[in-house]
Amino acid sequence: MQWNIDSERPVYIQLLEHIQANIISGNFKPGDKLPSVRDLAAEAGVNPNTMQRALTELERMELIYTNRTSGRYITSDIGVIKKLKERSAMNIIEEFLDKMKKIGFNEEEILELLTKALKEMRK
Amino acid sequence: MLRKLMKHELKATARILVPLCLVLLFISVVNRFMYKVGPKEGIFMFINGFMFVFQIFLIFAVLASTIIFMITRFYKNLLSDEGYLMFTLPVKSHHLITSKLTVAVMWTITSIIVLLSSLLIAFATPESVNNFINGFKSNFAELVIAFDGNWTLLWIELISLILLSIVANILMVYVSIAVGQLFTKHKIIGSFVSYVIFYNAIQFLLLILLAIFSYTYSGSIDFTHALPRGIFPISISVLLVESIAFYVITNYMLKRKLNLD
Amino acid sequence: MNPILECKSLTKRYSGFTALSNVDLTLERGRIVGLLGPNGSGKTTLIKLINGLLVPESGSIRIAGMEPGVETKKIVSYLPEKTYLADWMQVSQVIEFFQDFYENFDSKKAYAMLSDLRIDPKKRLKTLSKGTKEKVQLILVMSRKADLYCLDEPIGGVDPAARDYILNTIITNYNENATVLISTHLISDIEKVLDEVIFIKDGTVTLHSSVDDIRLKEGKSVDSLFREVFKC
Repeated sequence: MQWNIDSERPVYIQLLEHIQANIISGNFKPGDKLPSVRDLAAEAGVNPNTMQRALTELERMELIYTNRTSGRYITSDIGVIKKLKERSAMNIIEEFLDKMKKIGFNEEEILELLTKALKEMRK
Repeated sequence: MLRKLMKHELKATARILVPLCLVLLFISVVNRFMYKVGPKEGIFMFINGFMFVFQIFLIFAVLASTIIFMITRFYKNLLSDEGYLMFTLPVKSHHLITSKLTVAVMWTITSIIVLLSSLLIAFATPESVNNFINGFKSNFAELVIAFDGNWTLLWIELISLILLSIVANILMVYVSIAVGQLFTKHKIIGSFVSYVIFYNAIQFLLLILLAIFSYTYSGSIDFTHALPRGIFPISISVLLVESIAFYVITNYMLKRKLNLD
Repeated sequence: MNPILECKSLTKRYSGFTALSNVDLTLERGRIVGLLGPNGSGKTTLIKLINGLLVPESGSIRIAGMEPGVETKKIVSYLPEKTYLADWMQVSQVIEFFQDFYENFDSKKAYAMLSDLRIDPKKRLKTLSKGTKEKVQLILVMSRKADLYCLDEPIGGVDPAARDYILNTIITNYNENATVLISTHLISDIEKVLDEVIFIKDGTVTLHSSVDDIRLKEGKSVDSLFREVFKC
């Protein structure tokens, strides 16, 4: 897995996003066991404390949970994952609408273009 | 820790000095063989002469190498880049000094023994050995008289004198190097200058003490007793104090004034 | 657990020139810290003081609460910028040497790393290239279970693949009891691996902050901030 960490934004936020993306896409399946903090950090090429911070945040968001004896797991709660997926999608859509409006399209035009694009993709 | 340092010191120095000594001894044996048994005419006259000179050369080489090596070893291992390793080891700085001192003394004594053995092996004949022993005996007898027959005291003082003078000389080199390294851009010159100063200071001290001694006791002691009553004890005391002083100064320099590049 | 390093008003002078001036610095355990500053800023002086190679003029320096000495040298593992090993020794002999003098040295680990980097332990150091010698020194330093690792330019002279290996070793070596202090110029390579950075200039500490805090507050990488702060 390629962890692309850019140099401008805080590392832990990018780690957070990367793991979230993998949960949404299904690379990390619900109930999957996560590698140790050190192994994850080594894989990502980052500081273990920073990785820990990201994991703690994910735990707060209830996307992962810790079993005291056996380690960290992706949540099996499909509902939480679905919500995350939706929120992620909404973020992308908001960004898209924002950009389209800036170019100068109104809502009908956007919907038209969207339908046209989807039709093209199906071919 | 001291033992480990000495072990390492031996390993590091033996790789140079042992082959040298072995080559010398080998040449001595070869020379003896050629001297006693080998052919002596024609080309062999040339070869014999060459081998003889070569052996003498090697004797000087062994002696010089031991001295030079002992000096450069101290500098290279402690005050050049290797110093970064040695001074971050969990050992006390005086152990570093002691380990090098003991091994250096050992090699000095060893090289003298090897040197004498080499001469013996190559050139000794029953008569020459006899002459030597007789000469030694008569000189020794005079010394014993001077000591009023006290053999033990004579031996103790003689050995102390020889050992202490080896130790003091080595420590004089060490302290000069330790002081010299303070001068960042002029470490080697600094060492030489320090050595000259220390050497002359000790000579001067000895001179003064002996002068005081002879002045104070000029009437009361006859010449034969000057050695045991004056010269030996003064020399031994000076060497002892000198050794301790140099050791302490060297340790202080390495512990508190280390100046690695 | 006590902090691994505590400097209070630490000052070091060299014949007229003040290398470190009243430095107050505390490093907690379990961190990977970058010591960043231009040449002559006092980085090497600080590291030498930590290792007992220099004695301060005034102020105090404590490692795990102790003054630099035999006991601190047992728990501090130092990688200087120089090649400090005797040329005539074989790699295996050097490992034996470290095993002899350091109780916390793991020779198995050292041999494993040598084999990872394809270095023949039977070779004499004088036959190795400069880059390989540096790798050997790094392996020796990282094979000790120390409380404080002081690495002076650990990735400067090695190729990018080895660089990744070294950074990976630092990460996987991590334990919450030990701290790694890395002095380097190659900030962008190493930024993601650091918890905190210390900026040092003309013998004083001008910044001590976490990497993410800097990115958050300044909106730029530590490397960019460094270039700004230390612009020539």
